[in-house]
Amino acid sequence: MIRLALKMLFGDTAKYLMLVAGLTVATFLMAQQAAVFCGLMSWTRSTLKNVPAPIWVVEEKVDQVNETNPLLDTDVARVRSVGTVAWAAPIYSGIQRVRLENGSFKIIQLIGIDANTLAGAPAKMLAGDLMELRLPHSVVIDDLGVQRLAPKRGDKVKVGDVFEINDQEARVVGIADAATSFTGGPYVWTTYERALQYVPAQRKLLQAVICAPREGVALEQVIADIRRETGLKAFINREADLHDFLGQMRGEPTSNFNVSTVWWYVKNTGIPISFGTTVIIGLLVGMAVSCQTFYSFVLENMRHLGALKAMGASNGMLCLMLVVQAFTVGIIGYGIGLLGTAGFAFGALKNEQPPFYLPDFVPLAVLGVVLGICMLAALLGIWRVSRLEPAMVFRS
Amino acid sequence: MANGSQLAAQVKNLSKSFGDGEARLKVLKGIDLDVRCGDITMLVGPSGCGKTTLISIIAGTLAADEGELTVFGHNLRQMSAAQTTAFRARHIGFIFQAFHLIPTLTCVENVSVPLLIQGVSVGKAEKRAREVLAQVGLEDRMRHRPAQISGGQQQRVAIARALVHEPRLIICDEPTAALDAKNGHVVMELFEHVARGQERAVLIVTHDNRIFHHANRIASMDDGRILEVHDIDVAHPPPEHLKTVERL
Repeated sequence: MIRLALKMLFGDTAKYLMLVAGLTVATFLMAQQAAVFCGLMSWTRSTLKNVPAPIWVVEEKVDQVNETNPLLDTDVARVRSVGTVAWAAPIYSGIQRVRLENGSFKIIQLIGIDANTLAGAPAKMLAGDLMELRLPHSVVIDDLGVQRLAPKRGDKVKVGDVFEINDQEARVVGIADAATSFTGGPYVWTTYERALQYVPAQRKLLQAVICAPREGVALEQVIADIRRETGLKAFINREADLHDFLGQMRGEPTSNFNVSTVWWYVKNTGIPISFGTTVIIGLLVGMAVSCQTFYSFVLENMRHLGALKAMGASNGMLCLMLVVQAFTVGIIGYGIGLLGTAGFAFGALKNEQPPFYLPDFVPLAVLGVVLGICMLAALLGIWRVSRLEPAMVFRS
Repeated sequence: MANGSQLAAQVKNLSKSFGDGEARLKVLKGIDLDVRCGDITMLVGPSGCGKTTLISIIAGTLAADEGELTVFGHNLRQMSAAQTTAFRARHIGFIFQAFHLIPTLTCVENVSVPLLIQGVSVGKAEKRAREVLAQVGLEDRMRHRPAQISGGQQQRVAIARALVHEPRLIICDEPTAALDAKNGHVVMELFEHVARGQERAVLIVTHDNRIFHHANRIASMDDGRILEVHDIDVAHPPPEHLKTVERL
């Protein structure tokens, strides 16, 4: 009977394609928008990825890495003085403008790191030598900067090229692999002291202190010590999972700077509402189109279902047929929708924009929603079939 | 005629009403009828006289309000809905006025449906369906869909579907209404073969007086009652007034 159910489904080409199209659009909208949202949220913590350090110390009111309040230069020494801290280094992080050879300006994310230890330097160099960062006027740019900081569209910045930051020369000595920044501007690393020269003078310019624990000391212990002994806010910098974010939703405090940063954007910007609205529209479109079309499909087949019922098909058998039909279009629509999302992902990752990150739980959650829509559609049909009187076939 | 044959269905004092209160309409008013194996029994009468309601009840697709209904010795009124459904699947074949063939299935697939309902494997069901389709002369139309064959051929597919699981009672609703005289004659010859050659009971609701001479018994109904039952044979042809039954 399952084979028969599928033949009935595939035989009605118009309704079948309509059902699949509805679920494909719903799947694509939900998965693609969720992935772009996750990608954008991933971009908010790019600085934490690009300046790798196990612990970040910031001013006590700071909640996210892209909006730091300045510290006193002496705060680096105060962090170093904490007994469980192995080393500590200053970090400058801020948005600046560079002037290219052709006179145009571009936004960059300037990172200043300790010249002695180079703590906070990019983890992976694609070209050049990181050690040359200690030479005068030296900077390292990321792979996005290779295109964005080129004087002409289509050109590429090479090691040895020069541009200006605040009328001061910046010579590229290396190209690093890095995560794209939230602002969309490329990352530019230089030494901390040189960063202060590039930036217009202010009383306090230290944005953060990065540090590491002594061997054998837990990160949680170190941040507690730093908070207690300096009064500054210390965060752990490690990858966050869904469990960490669910904890934030429940109002649990976090010591993970990645979670704190993402959650700040969730709470304080309209980004989740914007993307959430599109996801809900996808859900509603899928639900409306699928339920309406499937119900209409069941109504059109009512006399055939009535004949089957008269011939001895039980309600259970007919319900199983409807469930199989609904779930078949669901799986096919989901598959095509996810394929579309994969196509979008391919383009997004190749061009490095728009942001795209598809965590494991998103396709699973979308599958659950699509199957839920199918179940609802099937239930509408089941409701009609269960009320179907087999004697109706003699009346038509 | 097959007098003395086994009773397929026995109906005693059967009543059925629809609606409630003032809108309540009594459609069957104390019906008595025997349907015998080996016979073609025809139910005739004007529209709205209760023929369709009566065959729906005998087929187990509709519950009666009062009276007795025994089909092959089983009291259908005492069966649960699930038991009635299983009974229908095993013992009753249906031929509907509108055929109710599933348009997206081929003839073989349509005919195999009653066996699939009983849980027979697809392979065995289709093998048996091909045999029965060959018996009704459609061996060259097995892979066609209903829309690709004529009305007469569709009716023969419906007959094959009603016979494929070898039911002992076949219930037909206006089987020749959509057919011309020639195709109607072919279909009725098939019923004669099924009833007399295979000792099955065939119960037909019809308005078509062209086929009355194929019947063994004709029960004429009016206003929810059976007015008379005629046994038909060469010596006793259908009475003249039945030929104008449509005007009653």
